[in-house]
Amino acid sequence: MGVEVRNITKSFGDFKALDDVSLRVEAGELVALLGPSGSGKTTLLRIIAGLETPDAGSGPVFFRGVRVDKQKVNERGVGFVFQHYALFRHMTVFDNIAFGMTVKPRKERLSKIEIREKVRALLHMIQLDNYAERYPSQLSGGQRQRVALARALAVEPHALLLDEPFGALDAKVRVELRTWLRRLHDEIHLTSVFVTHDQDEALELADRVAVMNSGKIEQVGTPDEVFHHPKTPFVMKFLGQVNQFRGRLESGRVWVGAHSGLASQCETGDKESITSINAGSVMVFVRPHDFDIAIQPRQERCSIPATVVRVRSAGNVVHVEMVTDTGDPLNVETSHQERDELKIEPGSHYFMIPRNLRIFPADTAGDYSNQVAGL
Amino acid sequence: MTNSSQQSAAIGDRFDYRAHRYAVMRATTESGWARFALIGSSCAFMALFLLVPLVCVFFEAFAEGFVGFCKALTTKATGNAIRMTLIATFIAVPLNIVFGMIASWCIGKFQFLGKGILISLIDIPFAISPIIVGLLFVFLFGSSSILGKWLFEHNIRILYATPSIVLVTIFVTFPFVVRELIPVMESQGAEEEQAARVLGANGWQIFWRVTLPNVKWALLYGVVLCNARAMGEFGAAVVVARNSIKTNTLPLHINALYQSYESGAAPFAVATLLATIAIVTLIVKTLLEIKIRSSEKKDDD
Repeated sequence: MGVEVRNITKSFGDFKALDDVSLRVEAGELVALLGPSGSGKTTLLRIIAGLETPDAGSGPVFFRGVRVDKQKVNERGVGFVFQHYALFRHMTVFDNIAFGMTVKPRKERLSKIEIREKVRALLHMIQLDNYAERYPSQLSGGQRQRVALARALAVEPHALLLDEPFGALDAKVRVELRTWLRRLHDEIHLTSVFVTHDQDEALELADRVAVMNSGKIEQVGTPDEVFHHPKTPFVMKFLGQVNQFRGRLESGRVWVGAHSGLASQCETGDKESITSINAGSVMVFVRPHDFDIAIQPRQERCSIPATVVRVRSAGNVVHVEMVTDTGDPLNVETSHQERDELKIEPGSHYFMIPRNLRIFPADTAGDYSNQVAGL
Repeated sequence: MTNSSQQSAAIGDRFDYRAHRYAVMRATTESGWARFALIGSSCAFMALFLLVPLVCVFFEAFAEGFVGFCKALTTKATGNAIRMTLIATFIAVPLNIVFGMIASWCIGKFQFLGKGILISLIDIPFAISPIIVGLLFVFLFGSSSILGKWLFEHNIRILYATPSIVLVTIFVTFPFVVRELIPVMESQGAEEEQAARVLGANGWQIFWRVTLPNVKWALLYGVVLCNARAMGEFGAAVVVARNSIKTNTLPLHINALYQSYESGAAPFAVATLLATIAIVTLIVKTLLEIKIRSSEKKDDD
């Protein structure tokens, strides 16, 4: 086991940043804490590092099976990469990376030659061999980020914690660095946790993703699990665009408007099976790419009648903005081929048949006023 | 990454910033006579009120020739005054450094209740006239106060002796270092210290290797100002020193010489010492400002 926290609660005044959160990160795993700002993800990361103290009554923190929550930050042996890097501005890149090794007590400290060798090796790893004598102000954002990473790795930490590691970088560098970090992790297999609000980053980089909302972890799972099998409406809405409708569940059938499909074809969250959801009002979620576009309603399937408002071609997909006959907006993604075959253009009327339909009891689905989340 | 920076460098080469700035300046500047009037009047003002008096001091100092100048500087009273000024300064400035570092660290890096009140308290010496400060110490340690009586009974002399000079010097120079450091500490935040802590450094190591190097220029700037103020202090010292040769500092000594009329060039000769310190202070201060600005610019990149 790499890192484990149990039942962590943290309040700032009246605001509950974390509410009874538990998380287990296996050794060598790369886990993303994904959530909107204010969801508590950074607070959780800082509590793991020891930079924040959880509220009294919170559970323990373990590193490699050893309880560390009574240890101070400087005794825990974590590598922490700050969002704005926090490099020592008056030190060269070399001294920055060597810092953690030089502050060790004399007995544990490596010799000067060993430290120099190690810094050289780390500089090589981050592809900045010739930058040892530069100052942080002379580096680009991506280079600073890598120096911060090397500095954290130099002390051979039990775990690597990264706070929005790519947040301050421009789009291109961000993608490059993301790929590089994933490769690096595959080489050194250090238990790592990183915080991000960018779903692409989390899904692409992490072995597992913990989706956080309002101080709680909504779901932990592989990128595929959280994306394709979200357990809560929040996860559904936060990871990618989604259309949200009011529906009814009656005698084994799901009704959206005038047409219904078998409820057994629907997916549900983890807390309830389809049979346990009480009949009545439900929230229905469909991702924009999960629609069949048909001229006629289909038997035994939910068929939502809607009219095309706008068609936007965006690279290899076509976004179709529609409005349902009941007046709700509907977003659909389709291919250029399908658009041409069906002659989709503003004003034409279709029946939209969800291929993948997910229902949640109405009382858990949160804000209904926003029919289309993620826009 | 390197590509884009090369690109922007190439654009920078092609675009002549200096010509551009000159063109902007030309377009937004005032007419010739307006510029001449403004610049000319400021220069005349500077010369009349700052330069002429300074030259006068040096001129007067040598009115009785070089021998007279040296004689005035080598009297016992002058020696005593120099000694007293140095004692007060060498106690007040280090105490200010220690206090300034601690206070600005607390104020700049942490949030706590009563922070505003603490800052106002630190500013008190800026707000109160030094004479009042002197009187305050006379009331505090004078024979009419309880403390004064207790000190008298135990034969401890504070008022009209070295300790009182040192105390008022500390009081009036109190805000100088801390006022310079607070903005720097605030702008730098606590992230570097946190990073050092995570990397395993203890408090002492963090202070010497991260906090202090980051504020060293601002600290030095504060020390220079504090030093100048400590050596030039007059108002508070004149009240607690009571014009005795033993307790006169340089400014008090100059005043005493000047008041005695028959001394001629002597007060001016001694005054050149303080004037020289002032000029050196100005030069060091300017150099430090350049240094601080360039290190701030580095952070902005």
